Amino acid sequence: MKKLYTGLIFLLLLNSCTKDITIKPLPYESQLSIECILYPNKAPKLFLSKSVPFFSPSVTPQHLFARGATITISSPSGTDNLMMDSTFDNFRCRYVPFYKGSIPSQIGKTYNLSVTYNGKIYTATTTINQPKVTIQTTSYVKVFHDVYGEHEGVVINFTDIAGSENSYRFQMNRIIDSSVYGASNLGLIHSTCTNGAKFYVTELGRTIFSDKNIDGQPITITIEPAFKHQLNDTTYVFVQSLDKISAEFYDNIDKQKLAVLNPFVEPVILKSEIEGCIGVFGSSVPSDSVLFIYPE
Amino acid sequence: MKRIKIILIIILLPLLSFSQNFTISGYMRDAQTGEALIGANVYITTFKTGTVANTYGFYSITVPKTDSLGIVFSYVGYSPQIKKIYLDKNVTLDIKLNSAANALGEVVVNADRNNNNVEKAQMGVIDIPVKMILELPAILGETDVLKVIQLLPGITAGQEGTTGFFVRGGNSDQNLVQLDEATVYNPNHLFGLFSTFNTRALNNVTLIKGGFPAQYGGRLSSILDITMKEGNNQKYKVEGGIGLISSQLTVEGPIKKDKASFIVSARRTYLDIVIKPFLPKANQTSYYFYDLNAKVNWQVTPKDRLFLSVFKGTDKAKYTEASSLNYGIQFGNSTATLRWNHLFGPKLFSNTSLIYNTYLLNLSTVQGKYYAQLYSGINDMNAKTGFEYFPNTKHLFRFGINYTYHTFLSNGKSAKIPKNLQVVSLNTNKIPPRYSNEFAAYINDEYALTKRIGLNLGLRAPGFISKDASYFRVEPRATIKVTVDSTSSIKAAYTQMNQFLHIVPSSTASLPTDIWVPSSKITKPELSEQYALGYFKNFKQNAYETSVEVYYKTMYNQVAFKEGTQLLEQNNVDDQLVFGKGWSYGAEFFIKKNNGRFTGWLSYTLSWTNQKFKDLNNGETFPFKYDKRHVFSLVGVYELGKKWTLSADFVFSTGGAYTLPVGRVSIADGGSLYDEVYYVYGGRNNYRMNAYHRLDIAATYKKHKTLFKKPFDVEWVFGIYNVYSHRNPYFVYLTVDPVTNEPKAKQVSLLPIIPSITYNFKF
Repeated sequence: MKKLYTGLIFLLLLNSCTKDITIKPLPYESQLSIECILYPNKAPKLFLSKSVPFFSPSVTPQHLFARGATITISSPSGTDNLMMDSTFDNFRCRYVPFYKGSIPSQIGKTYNLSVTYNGKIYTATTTINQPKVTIQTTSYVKVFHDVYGEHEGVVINFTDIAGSENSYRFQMNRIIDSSVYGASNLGLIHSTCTNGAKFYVTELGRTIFSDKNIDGQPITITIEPAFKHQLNDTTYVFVQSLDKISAEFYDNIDKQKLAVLNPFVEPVILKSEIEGCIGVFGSSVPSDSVLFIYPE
Repeated sequence: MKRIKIILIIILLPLLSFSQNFTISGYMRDAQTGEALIGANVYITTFKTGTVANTYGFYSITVPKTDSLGIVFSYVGYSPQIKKIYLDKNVTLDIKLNSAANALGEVVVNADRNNNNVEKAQMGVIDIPVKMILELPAILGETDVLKVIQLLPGITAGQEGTTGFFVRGGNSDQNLVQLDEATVYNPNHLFGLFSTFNTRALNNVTLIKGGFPAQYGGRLSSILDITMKEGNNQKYKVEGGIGLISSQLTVEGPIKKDKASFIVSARRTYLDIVIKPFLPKANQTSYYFYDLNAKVNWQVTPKDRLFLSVFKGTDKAKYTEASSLNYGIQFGNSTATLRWNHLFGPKLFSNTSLIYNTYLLNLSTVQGKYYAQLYSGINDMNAKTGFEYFPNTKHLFRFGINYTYHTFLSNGKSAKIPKNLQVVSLNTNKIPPRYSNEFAAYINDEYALTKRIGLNLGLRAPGFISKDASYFRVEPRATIKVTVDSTSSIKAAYTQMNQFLHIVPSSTASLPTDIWVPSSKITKPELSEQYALGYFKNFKQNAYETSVEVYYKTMYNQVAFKEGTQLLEQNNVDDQLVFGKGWSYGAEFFIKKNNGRFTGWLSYTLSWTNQKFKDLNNGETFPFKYDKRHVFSLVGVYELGKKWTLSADFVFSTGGAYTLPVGRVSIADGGSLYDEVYYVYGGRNNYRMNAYHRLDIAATYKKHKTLFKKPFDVEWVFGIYNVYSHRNPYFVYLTVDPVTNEPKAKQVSLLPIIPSITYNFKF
């Protein structure tokens, strides 16, 4: 009787199980994804890709890239026709295709985007009129906590430009080598395609900082660097001023990433800033760069 | 305002009428135990009118003077009593009915079965006989009132393993669950497998899901009114049960015969003790719950009676078996109720209560690289007084006031586990308490306008005051009944309800992580408006009850977390909330067989429930998590003979709604960490879980024995829960195939086939 009793209880516990289920995918029509952030004095770069059904095999940017689109960015100064181009992502060891223009963007101007793909036209407008901030000091902390957990951090101090609603994000440019591995969400990925050669990376902070309730006041932001470092590694840091539309878009996808990683965070539905597709057409004004050397 | 004035005039007008009438009043009790017979019938054959006993067994009926007044006192399962009296003055008649099971010979109860479901101007009210709860199959033999409620029309059980029940599209917090008038904030033990109520300590269970009388308020969707037994005031009784995972014992008896009695009932699981020797030393998995009910009552004078009841239930669980999911949880309710019944006269009954109740949830959980902690504490002090006035056979007035002082402590946090693995616990001492005052005054009249038309008109005026906000509301309630013939009627009801306390449902976690918050300047009171229409028909002298009800309910100021909400210790919960509207409509079909060897019911609900929040799902309409198109249940109890009883239930429901991405999209920003694949959602709650269905069966063997020359009843209950071991969905989560990098969905199920044996005894 005792054996039977014990057996029954374990039957309950052990049978509390998981099983793979086949989900009948909902009808899904592929959407276009458009991301284009204009930087002053730089030629525009636009990423264009197609979305795929969720339950489909893994895809690379090359697979998703939307080829054959007609893309123009026009301003009172003229129209820029963007052409297909690509760059090699040394860290992930893959090519990243995009469309590139040739006319550098300028502060104070308004730009109109037009993307024609598969007979559909997507349009958006942005004006580069954000204030440029000045980084006052930088420092380093061994440990700080944010919604992503515990990290080391780069601390940047600057003063918000008063009188406007501003949003900021961090940028770090540096040279890394194949022994450097990425932030936790990328896992322990070693670059295997550079044969130990150093390469240049641009890190953009995920977190969007708003000046809500601190208009015109000094701001301190602490950032988790994306890649590991060694003593005396040299970097250049920037603070980017984003326009409102871009800030909302990147804040939204940052929240979605957090929700995907953390099972205790409410799911986030992407909000598009361009009608009929997923994406953003906006602008960013970076501060002047400041040299930052890792003290340990 | 004009509408309210009209209702008040209708209510107060009859108070001005007088005639040569006399009142028959008293209490109706069980002859063997002295327990109040709640809802027992009093029928005046002379005038073809009647009334029912209230929650304390008190009844009062006023009729014209007559030489020969015939009265029938009856109650389901009891032998009726017929009295003939000469009525020339007010008469007090305390009635003791004998249980049919104790009567000599076979008693035909059919003729005395009440037809309140047809006759009363009340909709959406279901009395659940405790006897039936005890006879139905249950998980591991633990009989359960909430499991039976989930089988009723208009009620949805949620997913397997989730707590609570959902009534007509409302969330689980929209149900007011009261045990002896004290609010029980979480009426479930862990995973909702068992309710916190020990069935053997209960006297009466009533569920109201629409057409709410004005004495009830504070929740939008339902009232579950549970009354504990008072304790046998005739002789000492011991009742116990030994089950696979728990045992329970109930002791009751007279303190002074016919004057005072007590009942103490306790239950505890011992799964933690049993499995401990079989677990590896490093494994800290354990789980237990206990609950304790106790009540004393004392008839101080013929007009005064005092009741003191207390309840405490606690769950404590730790689960550390799987590295990807660990949790520790402790939660429980405690209540204490002191009540004073007073008769001001044969027509005016009052009850005054002082109630104290607490609720605490303390949860800590780890899933993958992330942890979450949650603390939700509620402390209520409540005083209320209510009156029932029976001026004549046409009216029954109820009026009263109610005041509650709430203290809330709610907070939570979630983050990635630090590199040193040292999670800093939520500092519960630093959670700022939130105080609030909730109050209400009400008046209600059950008014027999004509022989065919009955009205139930009420007005409730609730209010809520907290540090930063105050709200005052008026809630009109109205139900009309039109008798079609002696066995059928049509009813319609309109109800407004307000709710000042809210659970914020989590759409992510699979654990009981719901958090209670009070209304504030940001979080406005929830409001519902419900319209219902029903046709009620009984057959074969009320042996069969049938009904069809349709309803439309709109719920305003519904609460949800913002998209992307991550609870942080320093954040105010209100700042994480968004507000929207919900609406539900449907049809409920119910067929019930009340007596004979076979009893049971069939219930089917067809319903739609949707929500719309400006700040969720891009402002578009989405289905409520527990929107279930079809809910079907079949319940039956068959008495094979004097010794054996068979029972079974079958349930089927459409799977609940949940959110899964429909697409993946690459978002790039020039070599940054943004350059990843993100999810495209087709909408919130866009997918459906697999349908839920389950068959449970049970057989009960009863035997009367003698022990030391005294009766000793034993009962063996053999049950099988989920007979064909259908893997019902608990929750679905996403994972990525490590080889193909392809997303996969996995379903977690909890309860397979579970056989059980329970041994019960009574002496």
